[in-house]
Amino acid sequence: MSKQAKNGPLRRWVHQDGGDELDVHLGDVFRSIEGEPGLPPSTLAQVRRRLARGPAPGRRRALRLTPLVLALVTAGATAALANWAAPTGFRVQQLFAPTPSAAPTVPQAPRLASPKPEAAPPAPGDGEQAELAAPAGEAPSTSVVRPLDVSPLRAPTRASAAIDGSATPSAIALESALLQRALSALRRERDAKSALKLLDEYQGRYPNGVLGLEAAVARVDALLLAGMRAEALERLARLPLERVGRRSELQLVRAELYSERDCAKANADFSAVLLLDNAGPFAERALYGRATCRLRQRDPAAMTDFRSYLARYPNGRFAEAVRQQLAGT
Amino acid sequence: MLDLDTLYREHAADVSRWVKRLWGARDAEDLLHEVFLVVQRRLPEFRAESSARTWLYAITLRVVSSRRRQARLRRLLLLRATPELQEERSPAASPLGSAVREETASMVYAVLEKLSERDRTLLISFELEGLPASELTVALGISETNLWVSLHRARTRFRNAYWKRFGRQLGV
Repeated sequence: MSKQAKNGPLRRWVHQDGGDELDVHLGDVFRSIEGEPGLPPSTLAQVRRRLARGPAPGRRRALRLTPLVLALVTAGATAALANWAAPTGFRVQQLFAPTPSAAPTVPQAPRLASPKPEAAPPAPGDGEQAELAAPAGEAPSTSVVRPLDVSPLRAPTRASAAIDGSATPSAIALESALLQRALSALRRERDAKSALKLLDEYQGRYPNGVLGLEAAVARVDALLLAGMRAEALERLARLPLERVGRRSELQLVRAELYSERDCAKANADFSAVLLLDNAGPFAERALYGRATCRLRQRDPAAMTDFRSYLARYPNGRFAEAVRQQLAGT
Repeated sequence: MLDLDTLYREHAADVSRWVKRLWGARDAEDLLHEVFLVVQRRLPEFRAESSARTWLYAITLRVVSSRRRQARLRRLLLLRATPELQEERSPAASPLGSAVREETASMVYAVLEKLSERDRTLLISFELEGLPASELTVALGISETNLWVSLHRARTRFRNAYWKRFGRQLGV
């Protein structure tokens, strides 16, 4: 546990550099999910159109509450029916399924409320299963209710599993399982070496696998975890980022890796992130990264970027450094 | 003077992320809409005593909290399961494309889901969203001392729950 005072300010786990092993681990965990994206731009545009059409909040709210009202009415009616039926001796269950050895029957509201499966006529061929499921000694005619209790038709049989082939893993399932093992080594065990070994195995077995792109991204993650930044950049440079789900994030990582040696390429990536994801979670890092790269290139646009950063993120994680930079110029 | 269009343009992405984190991916679009309907209704009352972002965050918290209450009531009446946060994560763009990240997220949210709504809100706001204390105190309507005490407690509960659930398999 961290040694911070129990009522004093805290450092976020993502910024914590001390503490015990669990704190360090939680820092890694929270860092890895920090940049989760919001809804895609197309959905945002859709909501914007809905807003422009004008609200009908009253009606919407009424519609939203309808199921609740119906449920209340149904529950009330069911309870009333159960209460009404009980003292008169009108035992619905007893009509259908009297069991001589059973304890005195108490009316059960849920059964009354859900008669649908009981009323369904048995389909041709279902009779055998219903009979098998019925307790011994009861007449087949009463089995109308019994399938509800035992659900014999829902349980998949071995024969049906064999017919639909679900018992045998498909090629894609095997491929996916191997990749999943690599991902598990990477994430759960944080073991980059094992992950890379499994990814090599994947590459050997499935050189043209359908999950090749996902494996390539996982390899980048593993290389970064292992601290092999140059190799990670080499892989990232070859990745078709436009086809990858985490495009903005990976392009930002690539930009940051480039920024260590090639600011021109880094800035191209930083700018692309800002263009694609200007309001997204990676824009802050991209804007700061571009500003520092431009500063190194003695590009006057660096100051514009720094000022823009401060305007957008006055409390951002790099705000202090940016202020110092602007004060020093 | 702030207008809905500007607020939406500048903050919709953030609000949608907050909604996804606090509620989950399913219905996030509806909740985003609901948040901005409230914004639209209450915009004339906005006095700029706090930043627009803080104000929006406070509205998002209230809308999500209200939706949670409705969901609990529905579950009670209709016996329908309330979707859990970790089942609500947005699907990856490709099946395994961000599987590592999804897996980590689902571990975190699985533990968050077991905490109280207050703890969960505090941890998501502070640890995941990185909101500064000055904004959090306004959004949650609590003092700074109260915030730090509550956060210390929430973190301890999260640590314990996380350790109990994943400690052995992670070997930390």
